[in-house]
Amino acid sequence: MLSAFKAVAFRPVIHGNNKVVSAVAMRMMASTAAVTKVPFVGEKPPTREERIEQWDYVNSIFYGPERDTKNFPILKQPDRAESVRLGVFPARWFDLLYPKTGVSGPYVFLGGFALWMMSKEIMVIDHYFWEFPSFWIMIYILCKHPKIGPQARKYLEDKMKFEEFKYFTRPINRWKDAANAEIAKNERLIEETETSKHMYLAKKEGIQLQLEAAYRQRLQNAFQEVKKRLDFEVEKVSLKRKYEQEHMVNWIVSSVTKSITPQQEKESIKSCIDSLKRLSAKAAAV
Amino acid sequence: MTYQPGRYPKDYNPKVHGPYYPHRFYGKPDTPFSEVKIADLGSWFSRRSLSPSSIWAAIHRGYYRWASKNLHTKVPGFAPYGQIIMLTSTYFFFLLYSERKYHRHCKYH
Repeated sequence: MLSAFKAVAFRPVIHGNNKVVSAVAMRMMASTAAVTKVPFVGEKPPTREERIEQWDYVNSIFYGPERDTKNFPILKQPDRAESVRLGVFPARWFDLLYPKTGVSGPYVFLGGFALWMMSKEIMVIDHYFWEFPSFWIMIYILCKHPKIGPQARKYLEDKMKFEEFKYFTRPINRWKDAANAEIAKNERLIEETETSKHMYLAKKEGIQLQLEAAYRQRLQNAFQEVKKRLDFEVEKVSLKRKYEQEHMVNWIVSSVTKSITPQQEKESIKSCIDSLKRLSAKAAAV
Repeated sequence: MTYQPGRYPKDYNPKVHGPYYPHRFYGKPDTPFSEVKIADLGSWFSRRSLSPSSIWAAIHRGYYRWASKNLHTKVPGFAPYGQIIMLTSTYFFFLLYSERKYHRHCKYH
């Protein structure tokens, strides 16, 4: 669409190279076959980017720095037609005659002109003549009828308003609503991306806490394992020592008991009895 | 420049004139006809282009000058249509004048 706009509509007037256009026209005139293929407007719906580009392009041409709005102002579509007298005659013409002839002058002029034409039979009263007054009388009656005139006016005005609503207001409002919805959606997205920063930080902290906990858990595990092994070593050493001691004691005792002869046993019992006797003598002496 | 049907006027430059209005004259501005002195009428007419394309363009501009104010309004009402009907009956008055002359009632007026 944009390419068609650029290629055909404005190229000669913007770029000033009428040669191109005339050359194309000459070629088109020379050969019946079309020289250039111009894409139709409705061939492919323009994308949003194309629309924006087109809008900017057209704005840059129509409302650029060279625009002369003083001599060529921007016009607005008027709401109503120019005011008229007698249904059809512009009020401007009547206003032109007012200073010369007064208020009734234009009417007198019209009536006098018609009378003059009839009097000179320039306007002949024939069977065609009555078409004119009968038509305008019917129009007058329809317009001034208490029901038909206002109803027709209302119907037409409503129709016009509806057309304007249908083809201008409603589409524009729909575009605006769609744009506003998109803006709201994007704002929501922006908010969400902002909260995602906090979410990221919170998650990062949580993960750091988890890492810390895991680290401490591992430290504890290592400590426990080392302690277990050390305890095992201590236990082992102490058990070995105990066992050795017991063994030594048993061995010494058994070897001592083995080394005692019956003679020695007898002597020892004898010495014991002797000592007992000595002790009893001592006790008796006391 | 030869006449180019379907093209914008040669003097129209969208960078200066903005969107195209068919009722606007984009050529070199001259004194309006209503302000021309009778002594200057000859020179004023000598400056006018009388080629068929210029005359057609003038008619075109005139129609759109009327239509943009009357017919192409939001609520045109009956007046522009009435003006069209009035012009049509005037046209047919002149068209049928030679026939209707024969229905005159009086010889001397």
